Amino acid sequence: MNRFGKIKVVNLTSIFLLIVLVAVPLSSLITKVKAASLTNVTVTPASLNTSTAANVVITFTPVTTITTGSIVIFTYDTAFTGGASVADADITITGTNITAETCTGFIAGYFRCTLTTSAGVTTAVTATIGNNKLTTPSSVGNYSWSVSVDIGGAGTTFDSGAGLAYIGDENDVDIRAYVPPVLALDLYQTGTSTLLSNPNTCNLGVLSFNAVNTCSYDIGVGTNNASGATIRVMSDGHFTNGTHNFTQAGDTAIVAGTEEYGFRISSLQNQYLLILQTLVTQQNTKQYLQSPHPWLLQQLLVIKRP
Amino acid sequence: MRRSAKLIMCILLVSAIVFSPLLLSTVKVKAASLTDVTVTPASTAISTSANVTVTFTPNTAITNNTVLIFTYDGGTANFDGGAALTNADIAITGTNISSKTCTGFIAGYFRCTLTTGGSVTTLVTAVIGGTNKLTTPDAAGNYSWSVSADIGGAGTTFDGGAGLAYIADENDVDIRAYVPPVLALDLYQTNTNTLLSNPNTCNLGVLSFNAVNTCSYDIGVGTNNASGATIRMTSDGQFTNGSYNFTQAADTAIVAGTEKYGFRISDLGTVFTDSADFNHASEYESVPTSVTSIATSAAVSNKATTAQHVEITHAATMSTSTPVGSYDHTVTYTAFTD
Repeated sequence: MNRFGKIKVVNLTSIFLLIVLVAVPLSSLITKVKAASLTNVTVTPASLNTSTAANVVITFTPVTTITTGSIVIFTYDTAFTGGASVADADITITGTNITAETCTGFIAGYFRCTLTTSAGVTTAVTATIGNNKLTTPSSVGNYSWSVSVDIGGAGTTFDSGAGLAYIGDENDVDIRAYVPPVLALDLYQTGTSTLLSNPNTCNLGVLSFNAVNTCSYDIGVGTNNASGATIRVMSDGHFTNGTHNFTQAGDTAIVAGTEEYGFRISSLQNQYLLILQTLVTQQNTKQYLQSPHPWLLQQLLVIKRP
Repeated sequence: MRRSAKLIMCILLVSAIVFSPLLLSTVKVKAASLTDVTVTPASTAISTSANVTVTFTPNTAITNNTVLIFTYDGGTANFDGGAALTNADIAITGTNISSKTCTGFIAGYFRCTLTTGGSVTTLVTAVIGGTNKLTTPDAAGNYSWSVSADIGGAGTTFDGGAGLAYIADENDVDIRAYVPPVLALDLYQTNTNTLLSNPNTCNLGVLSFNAVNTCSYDIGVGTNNASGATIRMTSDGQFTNGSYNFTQAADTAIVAGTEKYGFRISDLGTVFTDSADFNHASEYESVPTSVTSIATSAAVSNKATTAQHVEITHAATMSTSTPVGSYDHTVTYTAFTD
């Protein structure tokens, strides 16, 4: 081997040593701790009220298969009081292949349970802290509960996740709005949505003592108001030529040849509008309805749907 | 006179018997501690052929002919190969040390006589291993190495100390802990750290067919979980006055006068991304009535950092035919760690 060959070998050796020096500690780290996330931890106190003794149910689904001897560690906000008084007998942990649990280390906000299993546990695990031993926090809020699973109790593989206990609906938002009533009124050609042409006119034409002349139009009222709307009517005075006022109808039929002028609601479209009729009738007794009031000529009021 | 002479003789004799050993011992042995003996095998793996470097700093100045005696855990199960070492396998260096002669190689022992050009008072380094090397012990452990310096080789002043060779990290303790994830969720006034007042309300006010009313709030989620968290949303039903449900937006803009209600993520903040198509500049989505993920993160977050908040905006407008009344529904947020 020549000089350059030796240098090459030395360099290769150095690189190898460097790789060993770097990789060995890293590989030991990788070996030490394995961890996976529990992404579906749920926490459900039996009561979401503050300061209430309640059972608490925690659920999660393992990521790494839980083997016998696995330790489940529960860490929770000490705002849940009574944790130091919880005992093994207050805890139940259920799930496929879980045969028993022994829980210890009860202090405020912490306890751990060693599971005995008949086979690997891969499906939902439910832990219940029962006998109303815990008391919910005195303030509304969202309180953290962490679950860590030391797989096999070996201290090398930890699966963990956290969920929240929502006390006093502090995770709720009430969305509110108020829709105000709106109102529309338009005058239409009878039986259509065609507006009368301004100036709106109801022309009785050339009268005759041989006939009763009529003219009609629709009143269309729109509202989003569930309790409806009222249509009121009034005029600027009697039906007149300036010196003679037409004889007004008085809830009577108008007969050809007998001078009379009036109006009536000739079509009401629905129940809603019957109320209006009543109201109109009531309004008839008031002075602003006097002018157009009694029946003279058949004048139709048709109220449109909103 | 003769009696007093005898008495004096007796006193002298007793004094000699009592004080002579003390005097002798004071003269015979002087000793000081070497407090910084270090032993560093080139490899701390077990059963590995390796040089061993021993260092110490003299307490008493080392003079010419000083004998260094190395005693260590030797033998087949310990540092093996000591009997096969030779003078050529030993190197001792230090200021004023010009040479050495090492002899007496047996398992766990050898000694070296130093030749110095002056007093040695600073660090002395002995490297054991050349053509022949020691082999580290078969088992992990901490193995004693003693260094004694017979100053000047006179046998009257010995400086001694001991160190340990730490094989296979048997002197290490790996301190471990597992920090579980924690999670926090709170609802705030927009762009602040001021919590919504319970009962949390987002009030769209009195609607109009001439405008689109909006209300907004922030969701703050904190977690120490490096893989982040997910925010989920649901509601207790549609936006209703009890008998009439508002028309829901469906990835559409809300235009004044055309009845519609919806929500959008109006600001995702710096940590979260929307898990579905909820983040819009102007379009709105229907509020889900079953649990639905709306945003997720892949890093730690702090609920108190407003820049990391997720801002939600609700919007509604009415038409002229939208029934009058008070409309509401309750939106519920939940979270979990990813």
